[in-house]
Amino acid sequence: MSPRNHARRLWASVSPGDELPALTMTVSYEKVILNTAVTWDYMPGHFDPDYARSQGVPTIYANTIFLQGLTDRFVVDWAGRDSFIVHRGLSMMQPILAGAVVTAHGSITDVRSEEGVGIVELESVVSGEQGVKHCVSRHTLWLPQAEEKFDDVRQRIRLVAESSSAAASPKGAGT
Amino acid sequence: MTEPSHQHDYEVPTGSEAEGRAWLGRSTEMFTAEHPTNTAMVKHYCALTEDANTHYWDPPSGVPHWGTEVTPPGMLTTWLMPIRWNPSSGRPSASRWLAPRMPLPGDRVINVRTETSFRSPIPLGRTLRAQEELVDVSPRRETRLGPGYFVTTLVRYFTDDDEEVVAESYNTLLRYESVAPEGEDE
Repeated sequence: MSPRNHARRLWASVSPGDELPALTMTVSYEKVILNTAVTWDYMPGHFDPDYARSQGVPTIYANTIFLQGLTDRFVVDWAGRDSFIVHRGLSMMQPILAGAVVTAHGSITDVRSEEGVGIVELESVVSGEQGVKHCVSRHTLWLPQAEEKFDDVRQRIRLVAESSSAAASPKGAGT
Repeated sequence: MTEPSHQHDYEVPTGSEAEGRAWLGRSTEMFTAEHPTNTAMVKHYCALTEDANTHYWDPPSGVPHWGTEVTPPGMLTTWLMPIRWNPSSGRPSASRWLAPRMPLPGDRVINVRTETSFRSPIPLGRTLRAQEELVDVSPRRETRLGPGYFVTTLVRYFTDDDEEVVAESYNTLLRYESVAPEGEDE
């Protein structure tokens, strides 16, 4: 069992500015290959160093699905397994190269009620040993109140998700 | 310098910017995953991310809360990936994703941004379906990897027995012409 927190965290117990416990992971060559195999993403930059170099990247690197899973785990470890990811925005900066040691830091940026359910916004940064910034993620989470179960609020959360998707801009990806 | 080992089926077609822009608004057919969401793949994925969430390792434990057995949201794209060898063709199943298949000047691809909304958990034991639409192609930009275009698609995901969207995701990737680092061959 992970030493990090998997408890059920209630919406009323959190505040803007709360910081999440940092998460550090070694992304070995083995892990990058595992990444390719388990996500079925055989874009050659994830398993062939020559191809990665032809992309202008020094060696093989982890894919987007790994970053999604890493940042999801980072926030849900803190928020508890009963929390629900309504929306996740992920901006990639520098690829995570095989051999890297990365650390995720994050904090709460907003706590609100929307459609009558408890919503929390978090921003996280995954960075490397030399301060290299690999990605920034923004998670919108539902956190339960009291004895609330997801099944009780399913339709209201669907409305929050629809609103989040409508607000997600398809433009402005940066350079 | 060793001989490049580019023995892949991964080929990105090139073309003019105008040819690429002609794809704007194009959608794929609805396509279906090759197999249902399943516990074996979930556990391997959790091994990758070192995720101890018991709702993934012991799926029945999550049913009282979710109303169903659930899978990690990060696996959404994985469920629609093509299998790597097909007995009828002897080749990988064709990729259905639009952005690497559309013509543009660059033949290199790297992902830069995703925005994904989940309307409910992705259930275990169900076969997902998806449809992708090309929604934006940026003007040509200079980037640290080389000149290219930011291509954004919208994918809507469905389960096999429900016409309501279960998740939707904007994905932006960079199609570019690689500029090899100084002093290296390319």
